[in-house]
Parts: sequence; structure tokens; C-alpha cells
Amino acid sequence: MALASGVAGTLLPQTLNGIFTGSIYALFAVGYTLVFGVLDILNLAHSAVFMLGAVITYGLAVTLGLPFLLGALLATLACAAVGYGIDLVALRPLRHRGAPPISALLTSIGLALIFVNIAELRFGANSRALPASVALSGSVHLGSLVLEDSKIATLLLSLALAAALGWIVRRTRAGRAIRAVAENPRAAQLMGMNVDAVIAWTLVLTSALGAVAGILYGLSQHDINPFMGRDQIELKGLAVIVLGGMGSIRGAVVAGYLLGLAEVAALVFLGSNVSGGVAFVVLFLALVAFPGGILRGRTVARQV
Amino acid sequence: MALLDVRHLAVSYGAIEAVRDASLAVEAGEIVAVIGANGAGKSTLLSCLSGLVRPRAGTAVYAGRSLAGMRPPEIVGAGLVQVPEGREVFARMTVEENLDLGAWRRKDRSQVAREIDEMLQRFPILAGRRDELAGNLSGGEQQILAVARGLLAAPRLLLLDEPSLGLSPKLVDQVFEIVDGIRSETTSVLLVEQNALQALARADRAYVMESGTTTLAGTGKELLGNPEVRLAYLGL
Repeated sequence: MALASGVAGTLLPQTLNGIFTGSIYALFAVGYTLVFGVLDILNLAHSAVFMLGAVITYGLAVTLGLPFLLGALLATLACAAVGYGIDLVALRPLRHRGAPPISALLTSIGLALIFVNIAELRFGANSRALPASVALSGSVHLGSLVLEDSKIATLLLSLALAAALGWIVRRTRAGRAIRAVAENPRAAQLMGMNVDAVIAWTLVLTSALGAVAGILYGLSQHDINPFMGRDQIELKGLAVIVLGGMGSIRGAVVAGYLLGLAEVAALVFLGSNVSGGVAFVVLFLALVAFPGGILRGRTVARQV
Repeated sequence: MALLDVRHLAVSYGAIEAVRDASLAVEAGEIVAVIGANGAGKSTLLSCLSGLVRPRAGTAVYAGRSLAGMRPPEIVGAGLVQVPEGREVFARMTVEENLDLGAWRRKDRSQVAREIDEMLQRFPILAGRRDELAGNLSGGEQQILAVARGLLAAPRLLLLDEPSLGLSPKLVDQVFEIVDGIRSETTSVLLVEQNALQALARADRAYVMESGTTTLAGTGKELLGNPEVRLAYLGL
């Protein structure tokens, strides 16, 4: 009896935790999957951009003492610029040479390692948290339930940004260009489209979203370090975009929440040793059971 | 001066010489055809004119400007527009979105919206299918959409790559009638075709391309009467 009420007592807060983490996975993954939809390559530097968002925010808000929101905004812009650099340095030269996708995979891993090492040099290897005085540290009490402001912000902002990205891709002229390049870059060129510019802006946009995901993770999990991209999000992001269907923004959102919830389910019912491996299991199951993704067919070019 | 003047153009993919020595001209208001067998280098010639591949040698001058230094967006912006082989419509976008993408470089958006309406009236086959995904259209409908999309770029010279490929005879006629209708004082057509009979019948002038080289030139009628052409390309 005591056990049952114990499980029930932790179930609601844990479910909420799953939703909060899931929304970070979703926000990270929408950009990751969009780049895949457009370029047919995995931008493995995306997880390093996630880390840079959090680390740069920490540097600006704590070390330099800027207001948190200003620091977060500047960090996001810096990461957007990094996104442009990723295309310029790691992707475009290979694209122009007609190199196979594996090459871009390797150059983007290389860039990720460089970013992690730079962060380690400047930031140190230890995990830090944003001090309570710096950022959203309040909480809302609903009965016995405590909702931290940072987690509420995470949920709302992630959903809003993922929805905004979907809207941009579906409804705007820029989004039409992204879909055209995703479907047929050669035909897009024949329309007079500057395909390189469309790809570069896709990297800018998705990197900004990846940075926000990293900032929200650092904020709500109180864990900022140079390895957070690699350790906390890389594999999970991959599991999410495979489960969601490579290139599908909606799929990535749904799969992000599913992974977040699956992790807490594993934590509650199977224990903390197991929950870390959930992403592996999801990745495996997705590849075996849903090779086209749970929302099969809804890739970028197919109107998301 | 010719609208398009190509001299001794050569294009290589690595060690493969797809175009060895191509020379041709298109005057304003003309329909010019290039006929030749599969693999003769016709499509590569058009890719080169659109800036998708760089020439190894030779010159191509369009409206007084060398195409050598121009990138594809500039080339389209200058009115040299290609309707590629195999249509290459955006299958996962609607008919209207496809047409609008044709006008990507244009700034006169309200005029573009009017022209899209006009285009849908002009090609009744597309009219009722404005919001349909282009991928759901038949091959012939896709070809008409591809031509309409090209026209929305407001071309001065439209490059048509094998517009009749894979179409039923009735649709082939329809497509060639459209090609006839495109030609005007302000729009010229460079047509690349394996369907030599139709192409020569419609063209003011034509060239024969063999193994990457333009070997014969003349009016459409002259080439239709040429014994070599009749034997090799018309099966007569």
C-alpha cells in the first residue's frame, strides 16, 4: 500500500518532468531534423551548438554580469552565426564538390569537437548552474505540486518556437524556399533560387533553436558544462528524429515528448539505472518498427 | 546581334567530354531546335547555359553579356529560363506554389499573382487543380505545369529540354502547340528534342548535335528535307 501511494505520489511530478524534458528534446530535434530534411545529412555539430548556447549564456550572464535575458539573446544570436559558419566551413565546400553525405557527417563531428574543446578551455570542465539570483528561480505551487518557473518557461517557449518553425516552413516565402531546396535543389536553382543562401539560413535558424534548447536545458536542469551536448542530447536527439521520421518537424515534436515520457516511465518503474538507456531502446525500436517515423511521410518537403 | 550566341562551347564531367564543340545562335523571336540522339550532349549544353555546370572552353553570350561569370540566379533574373528534362516540378507542393516558385526572382508580386491567374486560364488542364499537389498530376499535366512555371519567370529566352519525353502523341501535339504559342517578339525558344519530326516542323531554325558537336544547321524545313537527317533522326 505504501509502495502504491509512493508511486502514485511521484507519478504526476515525474510525468511533468517528462513533459519538460521532452519539450527540450523536441526543440533540439526540430532543427536537427529540418537540416536533415533539406540537406539529407546529419549536422552532428547541432549538439555542440546546444552546449554553446548554454555555456555562452552562462559566460555573459554570470561572468560578465549581463542581465540573463540579454545574455540568452546574445548567446542565441552568436549560435545563429555559428550555424552560418558550420555551413560555410563544414558543409558548403563538400556540397560543391559533390562529396558523399558521410563526409559532411565527419566534418560536422570535427567542428563539434572543436567547439567542445574551446568551451572547455574557456569554461572549464566542471558542471555549473546559473545562480538563483540570475535567472528564473521562482516556482508556482499548485496544491502539493511545485512547478518551477524555469520549467514552465521551457515548456511554453519550446512549444511556441517549434510551432513558429513549422509555420515558417509551411506558410512563408522563406519556408517555401526551404521546402523547394529540400525536395529538388537542382530545380530550385533553375527557379533562380540561391540554394547556398537558403541552406545557410536554414543552418542559422536551426542553430538558434538548438541554442535556445541548450539554454533552457541549462536553466531548468541546473547543469551547464562543455560536454552537455554530447552527453545529454546527442543520442537522444538522434533517437527523436528517427522516431519522428527524418525530416518531419511535427514528428520530432511528438517523438521528443514520447522520449521524455518514456524516460520518466523507466525511471519510476524500472529505476534510475535503466532510464539512461531508454534513448538507445527508442532508437532501436524506431529503426526496426517505424523506419519511416511515427508520422510516416510528413517530411519537410511534404509540408512538414 | 543574336539574343544568344554560343561559340565552340565544351563541357566536361571529369574525363568525360559531354559537349565537345557546340556553336549555335538564337535570334529574338525565334524558335530554334537542337535535335540529336540520347547522350549527344543536348541536356549538358542547356545545363551549361543555365549556369549549373561550367564550360571548359568556348563562349556563350546572352543579351550582350557573357554567361561565363554569371551564377544561376542572375541568369534566371536576366530572363534565360530553363524548363528541365523530366519536368522536375515540386511534386510535394501545390500547382499554385509551383507557379509562384517560377516567379521566385520577380519583385512585382501583384503582377505575378495576376499572371498565375492568367496561366491557369490559359491552361484549363491546370485550372481546377490550383491547390492539388503537383505530384498528383499526370505526366502531361506536369509538363504543362513545368512550362507554365517557366513562363512565370518572364523569360526572354526559354530553354525547353525534351518537353515531349514520355508523353502520349496527343499530349505531344498539345505541348508543341504551347511552344508555338510562347514564341513572340519578346520571348524566344531554344528547344532540345529527340522527337525530331515535331521539333523541326515547329522550329524556324535547327541544329543537329552528334557526340557533343553541332554538325548541321539550317532552317527547320531544310533539315526536314536533308537525307542524312531523314535517315538518322526521322527514320524515313
